[in-house]
Amino acid sequence: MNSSPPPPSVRTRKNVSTLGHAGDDLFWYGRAVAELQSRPVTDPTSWRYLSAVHGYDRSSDPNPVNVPFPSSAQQEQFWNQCQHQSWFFEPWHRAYLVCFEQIVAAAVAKLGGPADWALPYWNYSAPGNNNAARLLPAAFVSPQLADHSRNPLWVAGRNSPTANFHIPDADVSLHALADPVFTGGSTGGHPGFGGPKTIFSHSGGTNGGIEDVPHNQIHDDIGGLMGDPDTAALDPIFWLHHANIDRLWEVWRHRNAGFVNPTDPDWLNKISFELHGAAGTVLTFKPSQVVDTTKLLHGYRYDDISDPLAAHVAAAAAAMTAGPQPQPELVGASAPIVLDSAASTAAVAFRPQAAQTARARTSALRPTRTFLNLENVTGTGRLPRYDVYIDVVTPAQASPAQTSPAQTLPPQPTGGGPGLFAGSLSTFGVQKATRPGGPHGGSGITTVLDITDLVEQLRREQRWDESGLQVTFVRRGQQSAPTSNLQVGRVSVYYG
Amino acid sequence: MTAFAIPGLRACRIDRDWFARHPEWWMLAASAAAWLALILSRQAAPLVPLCTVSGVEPASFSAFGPPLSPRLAAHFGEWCLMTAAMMPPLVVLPVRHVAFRSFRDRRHRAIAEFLAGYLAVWIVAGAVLLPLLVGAGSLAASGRALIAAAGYALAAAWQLTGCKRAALQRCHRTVPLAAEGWRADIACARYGLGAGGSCLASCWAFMTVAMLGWHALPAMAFLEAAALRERYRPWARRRIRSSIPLLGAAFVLDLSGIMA
Repeated sequence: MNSSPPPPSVRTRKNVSTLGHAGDDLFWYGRAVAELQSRPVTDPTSWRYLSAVHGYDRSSDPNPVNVPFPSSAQQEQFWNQCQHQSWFFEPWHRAYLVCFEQIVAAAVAKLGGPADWALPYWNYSAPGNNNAARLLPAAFVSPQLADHSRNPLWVAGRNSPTANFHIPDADVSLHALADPVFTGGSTGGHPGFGGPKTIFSHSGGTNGGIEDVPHNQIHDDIGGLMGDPDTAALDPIFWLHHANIDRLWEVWRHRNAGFVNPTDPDWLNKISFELHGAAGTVLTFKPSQVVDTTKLLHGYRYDDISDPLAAHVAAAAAAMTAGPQPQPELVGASAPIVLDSAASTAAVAFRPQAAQTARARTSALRPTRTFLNLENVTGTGRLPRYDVYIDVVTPAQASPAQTSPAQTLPPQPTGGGPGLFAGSLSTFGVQKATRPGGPHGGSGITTVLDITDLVEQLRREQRWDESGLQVTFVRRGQQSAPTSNLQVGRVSVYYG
Repeated sequence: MTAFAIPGLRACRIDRDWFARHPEWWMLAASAAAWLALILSRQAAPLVPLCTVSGVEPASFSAFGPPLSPRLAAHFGEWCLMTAAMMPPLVVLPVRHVAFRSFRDRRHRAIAEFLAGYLAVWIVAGAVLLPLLVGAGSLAASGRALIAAAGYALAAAWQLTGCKRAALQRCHRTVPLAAEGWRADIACARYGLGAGGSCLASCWAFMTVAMLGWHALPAMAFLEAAALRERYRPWARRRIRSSIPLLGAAFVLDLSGIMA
């Protein structure tokens, strides 16, 4: 909890699990959403306009398109602005949310609600054996309210139409909070808590830590409108999800003195975000202006930013990453692999000399870390979810990387299972990133998984010989055969 | 981390680690050298039109059949130099992608292979565009000014099209690369060809007006600024539109050179 009470004018964002009663912030959120949904798309405070600021593609618009739209110049300036795979991910979404909060609060006040309304957050990562936190909040589940009127917080097409859908624990992991370095790179190594340094761009390449898990995973888990950046903000749960991601930034920043935001002028003041406020006027924000939430527009803070991880972990992590960061180096790579079966395996043979020299070079600065790169992931259609496992290479697969095409084989792990769980392959934004004429130019998205601890485990089990890795993609649950062409452009391993 | 000092420049300490983190350094150095060569060549012997105002120089008719006119060859060389100066700074991001997605000991080779493919596209484009230069050069100054104005107007119009935006977005494309062997060589060169194609689709108008202006250096500098600005700024079309004032400045400079 925060140690000092907030100034009277600063609003407090509350955990949605504590809400759900008549007259509270969640109650008024539902009423305000209905009000915003009734406004025309030409209104910058309308539900559709606000969603399009995050992302918009006419071909995926579920609403009527034969209505008056904002001018093309206005669309070009204010729509399709969201920052992903970028160190602007957190600050842009914070500015986006606070403008949304101002707009909704104005609607709440107009409807006769409280003047200090604040956006609730959904803490799906609540520690302990708390299955309720992994459920979609009850207010969003039913298509109808108790009086049989339409529930404005419900949308069709979610993966979780019933109250029994539990988000897997792995998808709400908070391991990103243990990373004390905000800014990462897009060169194969550490992606950072906040993402790689980029220009201001609607496209991106490599997910940052907090963006990959839990952000992307929640988008994938909810599915439907939430599964696509161009429609995600049409789902009312989007805003509570992002309020939690914003809260986690505050949690991270308050862990200890080693967890600090970038001081690079390129991040602080070089660019401005342009958004609309409740009055319909344009507001601009530099990242340096959003770091203190109590001074951002009306000001807000969270009712809980306590550290869910042990404090000594924070101190150890900060100490480990102090000083210069080693340049990541490629040690092995696979050929492209198409994920078209229940389990697909890629063999990543290491180049021994490269692995040795890279380890020697990085260990001079700090203990060597190992990063699994799932590069240029592309696909269209209904994209299935895959979990990623690693194991040592079986003798039959130990061949040079450049002559070993990725294989689609039943997994042949040495331990009897698919191997050690490394993470999940998110497909959020992959379709958009696959379009050649889209902002990503068809590059797809790259995900980096830190597998240092797993390699250490293999080493402890005396199975690690640094000859390579077997990476197995296992389709999740009972999902039917995919109708997509999901492909990982290359699986590679970097030391850094 | 090791640092060393350049003899005679006590204050200038270059960090070796910086070079490892910026493997594109030699590409940018080569680009700077090409700019310098362009400047020096202007001071030594200013380019003159391929054809005289009073009549077409007979040697120019041999442009499309051997032997090539030495003057035509000089202009083609000038185009290559202009390409080497102006284009590499536009591909810093894909070059870094190529370098860091390669094993450390083949990073520079991968960059060279990428650049070979990338620059080949522009050099071939220059060969195709040379007849335009021949035609424009055969005109009087007022005619050449008219042609330049039309070229700049076309370039400005192109900036506003959706095709331009789509091409610019493709310039940021990255691709997975094979890691070793001939597959890696092919992959890097093919990526360079693809990047060259996207860059040509995006910047052909800039380079055409630069050629129509007889590679006038001040105009080239403005055109380079416009290209860099749109490449490393937000992709939104309003940013592309904002490069039009730079185009206008380049046109004024070109016009003053033509009429001088």
